[in-house]
Amino acid sequence: MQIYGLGAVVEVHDEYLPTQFSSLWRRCLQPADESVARAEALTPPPEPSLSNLTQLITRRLIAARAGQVLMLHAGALCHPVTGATLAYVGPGGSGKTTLTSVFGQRYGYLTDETVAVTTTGRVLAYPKPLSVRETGSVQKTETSPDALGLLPAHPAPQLAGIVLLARDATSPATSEDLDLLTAIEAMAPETSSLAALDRGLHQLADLIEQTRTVQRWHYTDAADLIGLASTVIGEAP
Amino acid sequence: MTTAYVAEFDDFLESDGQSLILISDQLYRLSQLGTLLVRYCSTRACTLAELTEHCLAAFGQPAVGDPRDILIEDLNQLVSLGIMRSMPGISKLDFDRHSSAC
Repeated sequence: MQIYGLGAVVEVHDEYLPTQFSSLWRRCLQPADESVARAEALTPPPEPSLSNLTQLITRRLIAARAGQVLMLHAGALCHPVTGATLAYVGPGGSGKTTLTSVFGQRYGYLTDETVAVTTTGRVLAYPKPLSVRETGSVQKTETSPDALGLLPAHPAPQLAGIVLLARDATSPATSEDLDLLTAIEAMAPETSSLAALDRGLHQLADLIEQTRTVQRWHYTDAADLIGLASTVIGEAP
Repeated sequence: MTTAYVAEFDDFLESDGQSLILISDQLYRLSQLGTLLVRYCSTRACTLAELTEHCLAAFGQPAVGDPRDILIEDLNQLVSLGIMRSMPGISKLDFDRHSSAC
């Protein structure tokens, strides 16, 4: 089975794949972009967990694009009509998946974990299953974007803004404008293989300058961010 | 004569006088003085006397302290972080000896 994401494809040998695998990954079974890098094939271990498979696939795709495109540990949604894309950067636990689940029913779903961006600002989709924590549980479950009712992405998503998520109990939500070096300094730990890129800092700086927005959003509840999101990528239709 | 030069780096980005330098996936933010030192020493090794001259031209005399002490402290910090290298090690004694020889 071939899984597409980040402008790459990985062949996953399906001997041990769980039965629900293909429905969870349905949105990654076709290429979303014209040029596709080939990742090293993946042979899953016997009886792999779905979350473990997601990690293995993501690592292969990232490795295939290292040094080729800028990759951020971020979620991304796009306006379904214009393709204007918001990438929200943050470490695990900063609320990327929650934000994706809440707003993805109004904006197109690109990814909840890894965003790849070309030098022209084109965002390469990776609409993987989301690791969703069930209410009252510490366990996370791999959930298909279809089951969550997430909208399909625009075919040519273009980066319109990058924000850093800070779930720091600020209420109501506020946005903080960041100067270039502060933004890059904060984002660098959430990039993959930045040093492998040719002039990686300059590529990140160029992208930030191309977009209209680079901010840090302080918030408590993801639902409070809808107003800020619409200022970056437009009102949802 | 003590000279200082910049270690091999992946990228160096300046903005508003300050800068970021990326070395083997490690990112450092440099002050205005650090930025100036890296800029001057990125294409060739500079002597301490040359660097003092550049710094005084760029920033003038510091409000407090000896400019040589400030420079040596910053250079030593950059060396300890692996951003710069010096031959031989930088010390105020070296600096005074070489300066007087210039």
